[in-house]
Amino acid sequence: MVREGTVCDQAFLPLRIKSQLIDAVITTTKRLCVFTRALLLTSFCLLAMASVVPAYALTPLNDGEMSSINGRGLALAFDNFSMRMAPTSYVELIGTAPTAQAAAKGWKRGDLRYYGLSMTGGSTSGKDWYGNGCTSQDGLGCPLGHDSTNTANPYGALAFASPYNPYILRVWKYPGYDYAGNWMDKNAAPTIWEFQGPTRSSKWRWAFWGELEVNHTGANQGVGACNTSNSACVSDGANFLQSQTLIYGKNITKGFQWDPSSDTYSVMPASNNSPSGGPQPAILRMMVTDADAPGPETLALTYQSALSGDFRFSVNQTANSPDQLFTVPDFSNEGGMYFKNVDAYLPLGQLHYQMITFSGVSKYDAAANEVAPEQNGNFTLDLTQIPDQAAVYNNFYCGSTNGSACATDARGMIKNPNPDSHGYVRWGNWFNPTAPATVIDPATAALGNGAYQLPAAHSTANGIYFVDPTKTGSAAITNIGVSRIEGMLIQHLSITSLGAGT
Amino acid sequence: MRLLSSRGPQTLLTSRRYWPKFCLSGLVSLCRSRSGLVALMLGLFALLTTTNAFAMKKLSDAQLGQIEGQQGVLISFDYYYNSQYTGKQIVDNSASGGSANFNINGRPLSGFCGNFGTIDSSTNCRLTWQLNGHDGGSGDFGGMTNAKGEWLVFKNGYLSMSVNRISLDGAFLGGAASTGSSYESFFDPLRFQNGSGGCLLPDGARGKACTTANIKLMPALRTSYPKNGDTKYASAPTGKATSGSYNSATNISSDFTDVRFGLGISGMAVEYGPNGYKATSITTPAAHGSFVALKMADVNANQAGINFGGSFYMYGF
Repeated sequence: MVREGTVCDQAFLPLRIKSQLIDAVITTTKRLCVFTRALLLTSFCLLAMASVVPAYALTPLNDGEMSSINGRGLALAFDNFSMRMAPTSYVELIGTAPTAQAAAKGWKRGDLRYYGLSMTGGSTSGKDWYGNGCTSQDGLGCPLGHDSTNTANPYGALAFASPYNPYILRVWKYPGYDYAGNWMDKNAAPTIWEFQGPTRSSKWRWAFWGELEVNHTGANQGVGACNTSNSACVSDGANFLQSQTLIYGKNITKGFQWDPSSDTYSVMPASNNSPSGGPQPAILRMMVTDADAPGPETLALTYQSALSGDFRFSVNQTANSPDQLFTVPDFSNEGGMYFKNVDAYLPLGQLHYQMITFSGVSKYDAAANEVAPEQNGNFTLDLTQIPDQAAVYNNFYCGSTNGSACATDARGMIKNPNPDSHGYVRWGNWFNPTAPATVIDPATAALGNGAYQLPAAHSTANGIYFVDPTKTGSAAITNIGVSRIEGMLIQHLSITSLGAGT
Repeated sequence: MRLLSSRGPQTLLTSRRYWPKFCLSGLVSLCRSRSGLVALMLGLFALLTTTNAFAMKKLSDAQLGQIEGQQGVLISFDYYYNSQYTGKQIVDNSASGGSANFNINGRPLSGFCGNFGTIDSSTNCRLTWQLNGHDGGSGDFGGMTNAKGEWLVFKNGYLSMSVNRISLDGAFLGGAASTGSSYESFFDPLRFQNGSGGCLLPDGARGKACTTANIKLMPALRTSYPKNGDTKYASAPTGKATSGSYNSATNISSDFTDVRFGLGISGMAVEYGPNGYKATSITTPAAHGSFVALKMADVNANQAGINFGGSFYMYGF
């Protein structure tokens, strides 16, 4: 039992610690707050322990020992976990007044605030930002998950990352082609550092409410300023839009790949980006750029985004909501745009020939005209271009590991696309996971209200739909169907800031 | 990567403005005391090192074997970087568009750094990064030949963090709620294997096996914020098990105190040349202004409030 003392003369606090380096027991006494001169010596003890401890000699590792990578790492498990920022606490991206060129095109200063960033549990019951209960809407009515039967932490996601399937932090060697088209097996490949998300977890909620303010010019646009979009706001108003965003799912895909020839789905095979096969986790990797790639050796990243679940974006507020700047709104529980059964995978970078790099070189001037590369204060985020090497691009398209060209089907589409490099977004279920080879045919499928059916006009079980909070029942629902993008390959992506601010 | 930080004439993370404050369970009286800083630092080391002021006795192996690891440590920790500790001081900022109940703790050192939002009046309070290969020596990158060295400069920034009563403990993974039988299907042995398929989990009572039974027996470092109702800590503070609430009448959030975190960066830009990190509008070459500024705070305070629930376990494999 740990008891906290608040003043020097509080109760005795027995504390016994075994130090691995010094076999001793330190017994503290009541007079913890009295520090004698002898204690000054202790400040050097820690340094002494690190430098000279005769019983434990430090021996250097040789290069052979240091170079052997065996996959050991750290596991980070989050049990019954929740993180909640206060509804009035925010992260703000602060804008500036636009440059003359930008202002001439109509640009104005923009400030963006994200309030109440939260990760909470996946129960269908929950609470809103005011702490009130909210109608479920299949869990999407409530930004904060709250299950009163979970007495240890009602807001918690039980297996956010179970010890059975934790986040892992490790170094690893993945086989693959380098920039010059040479194949490297897992012993010859460079070492990369990676942070992998879990491949199985409970459903949980990621939520925040946002405030976008345009043309902030003065102190009048402070706490409690009215919204100029309201006709009653005639002075000291601010131009802003408040919204609520909720993701109800997990940072793991459902784990199915698409076959373009047959338009069927099957379980994802094991690969660099799906190490266990099946559901793909989110992975962040850091490494040094390949020695054959253009430019100096520098920091490089690859990142794959993995997400499945439901999404809701809403702006509608109740009649009692204040609708004031810097003031927590009371959003209605029902209104908004809903995306059900989303499954999204977006890989940015491929080992070892495509990576994300950063530089302060821009190909655009202040007026957004394309110019020769120059250093003018803007930065570029570059997902590097795929090299014109047959071995590399064949691997990029179809996962070829021997340099052979990719096989195509009768229509000329690539058979067996590389699942690591092909991103996808599926808004709605296109198949039942128990029978992935049977896919919805939009031309012939019967409409229905089931989770795996082509959605009917008022379905809330699948697809994309809007809810009108002024109506009730099925009349409030407008479902526009399911959608998908398959086989997104990013050959090159470059994002450059244009310094629109002064 | 190179990292430079400036606060005043010094560089790197040494400055008279840097006041880390430590508070350990049993040493609370020395929290938040600048004069007691040295003693606090030493107090922390005292728990880990030998000292003449405390009696030290060797434990026998039998006695050591009786340690059950049920006693953890509660830690509270304050850190102020280019910002000021003012306690719970509340001011009325409503005349200038702010909150009428504004907690100024963690406010930036405007007299030293320049007012928040200004990026040019001083080069104090800057942090800069330079990536390897972008120091100008290599010359060619981004499609440009003879490129100058590049610095990503965070201008006129501050940060403060207050961690309140976080528990550090040793625990067995079998005590986690998510190691119950209904979660055994989540187990993925491949995550704990080396490149040859060998299991990297340490030997357990059942041998070197990647199994759920072995994982339950493994020890781990556990951190959590004990609250009323958490039976592991009988003397957890009174308060709601689900602390943290919002009052819509006053627009004030209360009891989000597990971590208080304040951050402000008045501007960020890429600057060039060997001295780019201290470029201003009057240096040669002149600085490039800013492409974004960042802030993390509360409507009623300089620090955002964050509450955590549940447990975090860290273990090796």
